[in-house]
Amino acid sequence: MASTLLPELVEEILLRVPPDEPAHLVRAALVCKPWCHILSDRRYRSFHRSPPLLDRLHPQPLLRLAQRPAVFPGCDHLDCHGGPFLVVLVETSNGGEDPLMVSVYSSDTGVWSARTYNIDVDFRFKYFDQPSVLAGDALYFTFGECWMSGILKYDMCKYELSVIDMPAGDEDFTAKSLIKLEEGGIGLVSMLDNCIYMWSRTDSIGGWVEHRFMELDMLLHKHDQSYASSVIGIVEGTNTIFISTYAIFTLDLKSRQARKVGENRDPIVPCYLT
Amino acid sequence: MASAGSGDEKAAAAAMITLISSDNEKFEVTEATATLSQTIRHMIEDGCTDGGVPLPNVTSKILARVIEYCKKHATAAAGEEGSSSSFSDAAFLEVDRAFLEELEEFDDAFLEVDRATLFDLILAANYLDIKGLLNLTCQKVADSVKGKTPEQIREMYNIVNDLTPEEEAEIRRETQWAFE
Repeated sequence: MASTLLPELVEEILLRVPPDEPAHLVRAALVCKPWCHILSDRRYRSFHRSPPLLDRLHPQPLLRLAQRPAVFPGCDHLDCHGGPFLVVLVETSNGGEDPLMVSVYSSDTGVWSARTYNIDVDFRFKYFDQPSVLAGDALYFTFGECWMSGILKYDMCKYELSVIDMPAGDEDFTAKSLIKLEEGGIGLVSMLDNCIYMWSRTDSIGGWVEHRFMELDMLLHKHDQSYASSVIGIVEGTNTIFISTYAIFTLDLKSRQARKVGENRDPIVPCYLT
Repeated sequence: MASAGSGDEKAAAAAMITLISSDNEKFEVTEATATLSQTIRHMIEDGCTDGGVPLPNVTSKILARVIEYCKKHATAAAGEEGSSSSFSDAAFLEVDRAFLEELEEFDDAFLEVDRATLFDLILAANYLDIKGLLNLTCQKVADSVKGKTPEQIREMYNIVNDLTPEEEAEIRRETQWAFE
């Protein structure tokens, strides 16, 4: 039955999903992006005059350790086990609505710095579950929620935190993965209409440069288009990304070689070299 | 009474409004019934109801149902006004309770429609700005998602899942607490 509703009426309906059964709410949030957005929005909260429920989709307090954070300029920490290291902690509170604060732990001194920095981003703050990337003297994290996202850059020489906007038109892309470019700087990999896109950004250029990287069909042969495809992870410190489609593939961005590594479409967590 | 400002209360209560559906059917209703719709109330206040109120977004089938709802609830509103002016007489309260129960039964029966009609009623309630009806119909749909899986909900309402597998996994992981 063609029973479709105008978007604003969907909101009217979802506002009335009772908050007393969180499981119902979560299942409804899993229906699609607009539903997820409405049910985790503050209007839902104020409608029920209730404390945040699905707001827990935006964990608080929010914190993230820089994985493998031997964050000394010039060292990628992939091989310096036991060496001195820094931990960069970025946190916020109030569901991501308060300004960001950064503190740094040094294994040399054994102490945490004061929360030295804070910047105010104009949207709610939530990390994608992706590894941070160390490129040059800076550590990069992706963050955002359903609609808006950006990249947080922490410069370890200047002790400065800044926000880098995503490339223009990025809202068409879901799940952008951050990678470190061999030539320095950072890159983003994502997928749209079964085509892999890449953006690069180096300090010398200053902005994003888009590259249409390659067609997925060419890469994976006999690719069935009915499956949604997305980049689901990177292997830190390498050129390898994971792609989920009718199966799980790894793709070497340099050699453009793909390899099927799993039949199961279940998403896997990002991998790290050991 | 809201329309008392215009002068003669009896005349106001008896005033009839003509509503015209998209398929050109005419419905005569009392002003008390029509003004459950804020949209129509504003039109009456602005004096633009002579010659009938065209409702190009509402079919006669749906308008008939909407009017049925408004008639019942307009009586309820009048009843409430009556009782509030009386003192708390036990017999009166008893009548009130019986009437509320009847109203509830009416609402339940009113909602016994197919999904397409229910959605049309929501659209009409939204367009005509009838708060009670919008609330009633939206609540019915909201209740229908309870206990359903995301797949069942999508199927029920023709929704395409645009969440990527990793976004889905993320929501599931972060809301694990809800199922514990």
